[in-house]
Amino acid sequence: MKNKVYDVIIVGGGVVGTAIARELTKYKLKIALLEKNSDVGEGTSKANDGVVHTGFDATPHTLQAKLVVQSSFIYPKLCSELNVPYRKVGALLVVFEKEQIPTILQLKKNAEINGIRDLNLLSREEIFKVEPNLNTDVLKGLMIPRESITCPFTLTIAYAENALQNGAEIFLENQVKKIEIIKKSFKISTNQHTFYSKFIINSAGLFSDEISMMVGINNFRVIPRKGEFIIFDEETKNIINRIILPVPTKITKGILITPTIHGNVLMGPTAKDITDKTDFSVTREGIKEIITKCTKVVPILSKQTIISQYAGLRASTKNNDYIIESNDKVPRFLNIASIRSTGLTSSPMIAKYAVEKLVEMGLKLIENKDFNPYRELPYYYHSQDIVKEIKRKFPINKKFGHIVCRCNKVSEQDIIEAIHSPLGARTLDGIKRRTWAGAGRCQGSFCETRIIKILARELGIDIAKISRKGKGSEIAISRNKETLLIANKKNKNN
Amino acid sequence: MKKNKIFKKELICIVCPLGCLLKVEYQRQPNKIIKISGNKCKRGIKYAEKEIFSPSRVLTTTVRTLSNRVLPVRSVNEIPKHKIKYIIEELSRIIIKRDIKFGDIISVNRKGLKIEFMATDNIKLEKNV
Amino acid sequence: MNEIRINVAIIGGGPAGLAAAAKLKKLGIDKILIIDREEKLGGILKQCIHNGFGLQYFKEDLTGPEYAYKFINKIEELGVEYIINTSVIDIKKGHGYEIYSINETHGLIKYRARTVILAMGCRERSRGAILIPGARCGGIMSAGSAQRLVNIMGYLPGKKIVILGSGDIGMIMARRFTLEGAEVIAVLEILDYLSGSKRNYVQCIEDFKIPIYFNQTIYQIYGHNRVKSIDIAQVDKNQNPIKVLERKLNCDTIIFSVGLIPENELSRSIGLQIDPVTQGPIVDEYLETSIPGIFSCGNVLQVSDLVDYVSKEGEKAAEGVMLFLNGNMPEKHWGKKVLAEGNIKYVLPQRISFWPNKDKFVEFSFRSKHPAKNITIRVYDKSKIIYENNMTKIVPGEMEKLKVKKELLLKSQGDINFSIYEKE
Repeated sequence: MKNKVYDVIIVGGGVVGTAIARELTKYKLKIALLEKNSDVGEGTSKANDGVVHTGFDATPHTLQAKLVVQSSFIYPKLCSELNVPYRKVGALLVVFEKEQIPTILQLKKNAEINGIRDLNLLSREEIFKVEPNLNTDVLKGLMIPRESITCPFTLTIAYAENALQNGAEIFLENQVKKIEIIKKSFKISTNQHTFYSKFIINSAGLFSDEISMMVGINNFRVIPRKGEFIIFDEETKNIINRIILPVPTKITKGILITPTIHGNVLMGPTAKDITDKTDFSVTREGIKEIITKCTKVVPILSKQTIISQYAGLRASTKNNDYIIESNDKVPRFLNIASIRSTGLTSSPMIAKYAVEKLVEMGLKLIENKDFNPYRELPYYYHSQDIVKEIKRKFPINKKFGHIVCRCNKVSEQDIIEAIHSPLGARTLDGIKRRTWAGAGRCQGSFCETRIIKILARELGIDIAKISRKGKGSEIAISRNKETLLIANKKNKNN
Repeated sequence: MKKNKIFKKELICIVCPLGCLLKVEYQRQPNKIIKISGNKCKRGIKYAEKEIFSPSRVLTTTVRTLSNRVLPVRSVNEIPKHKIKYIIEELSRIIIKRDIKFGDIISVNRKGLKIEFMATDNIKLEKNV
Repeated sequence: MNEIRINVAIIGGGPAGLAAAAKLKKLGIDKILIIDREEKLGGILKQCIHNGFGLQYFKEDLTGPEYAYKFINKIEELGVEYIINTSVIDIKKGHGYEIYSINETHGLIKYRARTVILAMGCRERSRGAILIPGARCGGIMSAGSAQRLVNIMGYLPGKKIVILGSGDIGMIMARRFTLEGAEVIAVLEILDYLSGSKRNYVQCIEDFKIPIYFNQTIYQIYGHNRVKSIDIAQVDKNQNPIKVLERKLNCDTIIFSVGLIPENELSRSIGLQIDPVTQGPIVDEYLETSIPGIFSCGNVLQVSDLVDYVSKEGEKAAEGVMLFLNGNMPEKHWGKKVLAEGNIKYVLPQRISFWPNKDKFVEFSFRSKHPAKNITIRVYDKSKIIYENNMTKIVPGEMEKLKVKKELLLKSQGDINFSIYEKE
């Protein structure tokens, strides 16, 4: 590692960083991705609504509009290549007030400017035919047929695994501390190692301003914008068929209600600017706002069982468009920032755009003929048709027949495979994101201790080292009576 | 005759789910209950006597083993409450190094007090631990 | 697909399923199979290493594992068959019932059973379900999960622990944590009375001098990787926070003991009628559900405080299965409704079929919504009071039972109501 000089180092392993890593492996380049957390996608990428936007409501003639709209057309193919779940559920934007009707007409026009011409207006009667559980006060709606859903965790992991498969290197738990410019390359010091690279892509999301400042570019500041979500029990599944959208404002797309790819219903996000980039807490006000607004739109939601809440932080800036730019002062350094809430959708086109920018900055591209765009569907991937899955998987390994997470019917072998996959899970959260174990209605209270045991066994480490999401969040603090033993020894020595 | 001090105490009887609130007046040396009220049956009196003069509890806890599990144990008899702390300390020093069967007895000695614990599970030591 | 034919499939090998199996065998039924998903029979009792079990059923003071051991021995002696490490993933109707299960040895196994006893137990309500704001970090665990960590795996979840909920499992764990060397800083109870039993209050809270506070809840959780501190708030009668009492109380672990919910996923998938209050299947006096041939018992039917009751329920379900298999059907399945009124939270059974049997009584189980003193339990129909029973007091945390003569119920007109009459 000491003398190896990478062609491109990507700082930040979110959905954008991993997408770029994969894109770059299409060429003969030495690529490394540096991620400060113990898994990819631990920032904004893990805490969003999983919606793949069409870009119908994006501000026309912006970079965001262009990249989102283009991405949405290539998304089905991308998901098929990477074996990432994807469902075109469609969205219904609804209005309850007469004054809002001109707005949806405007949105339709806006969409057409963005190149989206398949929107159609629905009357009350038409709305109730497709969404019978909406509030009867609804006046009109705008149908956006190609608005879709995917799994944000799976996409990020899939990008990363495919990148690894094609020769990229990923360094987790490496937080960039310092970047120095030496002649024609950069010297990047993390908390663990030193790396050298000709080009740097900064896709550090919430911390992209801090990375940018390390090379002296400080023309943007990240404002964390919190978005809170509430998840319902699986029973709520059939209450809505499409994504239900409110009228968007300039600042936010608003609080939506969406089916998730895993079979739940989700409400959110809120939008509140905060100052602490590490504050992923759920707030009383946020919960109240979501419940109040959403139960107005779908009243029977107030009777449904909630199983979880979470919060994500959008990496916003004062800029209302994406920032994907180089700077004359620092050649071969590309900033990617202000992606906010559409990164999941636009990741494939951001990646292509970033590569174009690198070429402009002097990167030479030679096609990698061995590039394999296909990532096999891992056995551990959570499917909802358990009987079919068992028939397929059991002949391969008997441990697929041993159910560990009973809410989601995840087997021991699913968990083992997730641990030993190319970007293996090492924490409870890592297992949850890959296998969906612990994400069901009991939220892990049954399977947690069993998963900890499997993790400790497979990783060959002590149970006390297994954590929820990395160092500092260990599940077991000490063995029984250990503190008594220590206290006793101390007493005896006195 | 020297007049003995009368103590007053309130306690919840736990012999049956009724949980009567007992109001007890008692003296020490000799230990004697003078007055008791609140009990719905005679068992409450016996309980109050024991609880005030010689409170004891069944102790249930775990003992470390060489396997990846701990062994659940229960004291065969009740242990005087004030000795529980010491017995726990003694137990914390034990690591079971052999196979154990449900019903096996583990003895703990501390300051002349011998307490027997019964194993309430089977533990087989795995070969690679 | 190959199928194995049995008379009774018992789903769950905990105290309910085990008692049902033993009773069935004694009643002369064969081709019984207990299906359990864990490595050993005994259900949740395996991790309940504390004593207090069996005071009624065995007249002994046993620990959970000891109680389970007695039943496991019994079924082994009786030669009841069971299969472990096997999860039932689906039940379908069709010439009896098709039960799809999986295990590591055989993969998918299909059983065809003439009757089914559902005894799957319950799960815990999570932090997410009660919407506590704040950080979602390490150091947050449910009481049952912590119980398994401490009692089976031998590890403590933290050093400075706050327990939310004064139910039995919360109090039991307060004692466990303390005995194993951790500090329980507080038990917070949102209601103004104890959720669990007095026995546990004395032996866990009082004995170990653990601070317990009523009308309080966690207002906010702080922490990054791990819990660092909490805000505690006082609540009103409707459990709404009215005042923050303590800010940033240092702790590193929060244990949630905020309720048990019967695990009825299978019940719902086969379409049983579920009681919205108990969250378990609606049943008649022999614990038959809305689908004839499917019976239910134990915590999956109603969350019980005493395992002794659970075993008795298992035996009742077994009696029902025997009647069913012998063709002694009631004239009108679920003919009569039993309703809970006023301060009665729920009554079980919710239906009476009047199975042809020599039983002279129907035993009802019920809980109150609120505590009350000097009350009369009133059983009545639209024209008269059928039966009354006086009680000095009732609390929601302790299930009550009441036997009513079957002939009185037979004579009743229309629905039967249960209510609590309070003398002022």
